[in-house]
Amino acid sequence: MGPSFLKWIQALLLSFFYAHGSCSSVEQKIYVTLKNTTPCVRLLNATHQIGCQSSISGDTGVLHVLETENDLEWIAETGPHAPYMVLMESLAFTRCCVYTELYGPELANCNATVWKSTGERLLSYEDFPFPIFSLFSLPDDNETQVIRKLCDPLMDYNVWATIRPINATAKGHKQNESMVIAATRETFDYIGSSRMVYDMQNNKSVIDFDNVHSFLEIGQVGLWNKRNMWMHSDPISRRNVSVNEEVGSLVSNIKSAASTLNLSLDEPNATQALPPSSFQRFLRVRPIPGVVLADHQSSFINKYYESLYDTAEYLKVSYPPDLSPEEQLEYETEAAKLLYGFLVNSNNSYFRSLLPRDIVSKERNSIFSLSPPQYYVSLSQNQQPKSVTTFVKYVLANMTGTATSLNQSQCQNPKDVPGESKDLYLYDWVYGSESENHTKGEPFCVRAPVRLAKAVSPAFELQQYGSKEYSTWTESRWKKIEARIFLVASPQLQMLTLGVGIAVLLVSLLGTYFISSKADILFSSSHDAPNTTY
Amino acid sequence: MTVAVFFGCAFIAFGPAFALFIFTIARDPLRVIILIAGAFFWLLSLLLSSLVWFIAVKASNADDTKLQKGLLIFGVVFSVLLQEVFRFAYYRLLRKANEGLAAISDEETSPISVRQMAYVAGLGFGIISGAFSMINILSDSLGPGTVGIFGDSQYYFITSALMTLAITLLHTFWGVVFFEGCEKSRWWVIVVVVCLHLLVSSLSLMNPLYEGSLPPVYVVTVGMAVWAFFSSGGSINNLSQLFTRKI
Repeated sequence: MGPSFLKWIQALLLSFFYAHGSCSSVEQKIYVTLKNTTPCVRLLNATHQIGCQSSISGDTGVLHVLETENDLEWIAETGPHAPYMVLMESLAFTRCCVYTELYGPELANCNATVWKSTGERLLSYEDFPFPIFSLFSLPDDNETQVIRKLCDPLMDYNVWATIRPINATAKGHKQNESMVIAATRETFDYIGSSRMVYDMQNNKSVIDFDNVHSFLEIGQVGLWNKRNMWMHSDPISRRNVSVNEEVGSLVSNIKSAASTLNLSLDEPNATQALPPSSFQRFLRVRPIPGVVLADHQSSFINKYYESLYDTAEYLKVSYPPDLSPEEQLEYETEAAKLLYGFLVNSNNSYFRSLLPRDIVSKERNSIFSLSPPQYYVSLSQNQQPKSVTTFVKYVLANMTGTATSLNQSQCQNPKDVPGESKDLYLYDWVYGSESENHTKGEPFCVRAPVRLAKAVSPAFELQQYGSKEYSTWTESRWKKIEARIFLVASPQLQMLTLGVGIAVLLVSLLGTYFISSKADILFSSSHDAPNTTY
Repeated sequence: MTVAVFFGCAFIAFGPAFALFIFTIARDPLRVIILIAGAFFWLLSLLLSSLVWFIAVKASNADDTKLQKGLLIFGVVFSVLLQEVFRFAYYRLLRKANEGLAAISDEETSPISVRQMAYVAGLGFGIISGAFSMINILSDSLGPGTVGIFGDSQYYFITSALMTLAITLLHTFWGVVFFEGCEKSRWWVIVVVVCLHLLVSSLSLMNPLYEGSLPPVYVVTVGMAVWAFFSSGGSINNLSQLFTRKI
């Protein structure tokens, strides 16, 4: 038993080295957790729900790659291993494919003018009783969730700036001749503009309605190829004679300005209603003369406006293939730089040069990514503005502000410097443009009349959770959303395991009973007591 | 569906131990006590060996995979030796207890024989070691997934259950043979038991090559069963007596 046995052991140990990979837990051998996914989440307001929801303990299905439309029949009807989880290209994610007869197309359209002919592509504002994950990754703004009640209100910040500085502490007072540029977070029922209007009505904003002389909204102007823009106005408020006159003069002013730029501007049919726009929230309060500039006469040209597909890929933004990221950034015009930053790649030298140095040099949770910023309004987390809002803020600061000669400490504490006031301006020590060899920017202090205003629906401020006046969209509370891929044992193997188990149990019960009942015979040696007897 | 796998594995791993407990242990409080105490002794050995292994792993370089594998093998060998040391310690304790039991007994003899104690103590070792090796696997067997997405064998759960079953039975037989060897001062018996324990444990290091580990373990189990039968007073004569009586 000695030497041969040792050899045995040696052989065994060698085979262990060969066969055994690493000692990891069983779960790691079973599941592959999908990383870089963007889940679809459940959004709710007082009356409706959209987004996705899984069963209470998650959904499981056989993964099936949808290659052709013929696979649909297999998945929905003939396939023997239902339910299925479908893996498809986002292009195939259309109403015809996702909706079966179970979910009929009951979408109500507005009766007069259909602004958004959604076409075949499924957009973000639908309700699915099953989970959906997008495998192309979007930057994740939601690393930590602030949980309040069962749902959390969607919120972000509005960005606005004035041409002339106005005192931020003097709320509700008359400010003369100030012009406001606001970039609001409008998705989900005008959250941004309704909040702005609410603040103006309740003297919580530095401007109020008496300050508003007229309104010029720049709507969707991205896709005008024919050098033809449309000036939409509101037929209802134009019944008022003075408003009608003001709108007329506004239109002629814009037209004369546009003619110098070789732009042709037209007005749609006078009876056509105002397209969806922030201006509508202001008109609800009082008739204000105003115009909405857009690239569409009636229905939207951009079919994917404010949806998951409102991306460079679907807007057909493309660059010559041999350009480096920096060359793409500098391609064509100044406005194209913005387009590049907001649609293609937010981590570019132009955006970096506009932002404060401590944001640019932050290594962890950087708001820069090699993809566009996240446009979903999402929840409040640490009361911080979302990355896209931050970009808009500093782009506006760059356009409306001025570079000052203040040094870094003065920039952080401008109230000690004569002639400077934090009530009038935003001061930020920005990164500055990078030199040729891509090392570091040359920071300077920018002073701009730019402000952030909280854009959370007034319904939550007023605690009117059933409000029909204001948006009540919330995101349903969730702790962890994950998708994982795993194998399932075949029914044969499962039944084999169960069968062997039951057989072992029965045999051992019978065998033990038999042996213990006969133990006095089995274990009766001449001089010792039996073993397993009872 | 994976509930089937869970119950199948649970029945395989713990069915025999359950049957033995029901029919031979449960009705005698003294046996229950010896069983639980045996399990406690095994736990103590596990505690000590895991402590040593933990210190060894923490003190060593975690990136050196060859060293870590060596440490794992060392841990297995050390744990086996420690288990056998505690089996011997438990034997000594039971001998002492037996004397005490005999002293307070009415009939001047102990209410339980050393062979019975050996069997019960061995089963205690077996049940607790089986439970420790199987509980985590059982919880994973509830699914919904099964092992195999990285190319591992799909028979992982059932072979683990079968291995646990063998280990439980082996501990019982080893207990019987070991105590008999101690009683009769046949030290070679103890050496063989320790060696077989080492062999079985190192066979499990061959996993996931189940063809290489399971059959030898079951050969050892059957051999140990026969040995335990004879060392606890069984004989061919008894067997033939049983069958002739039955006919």
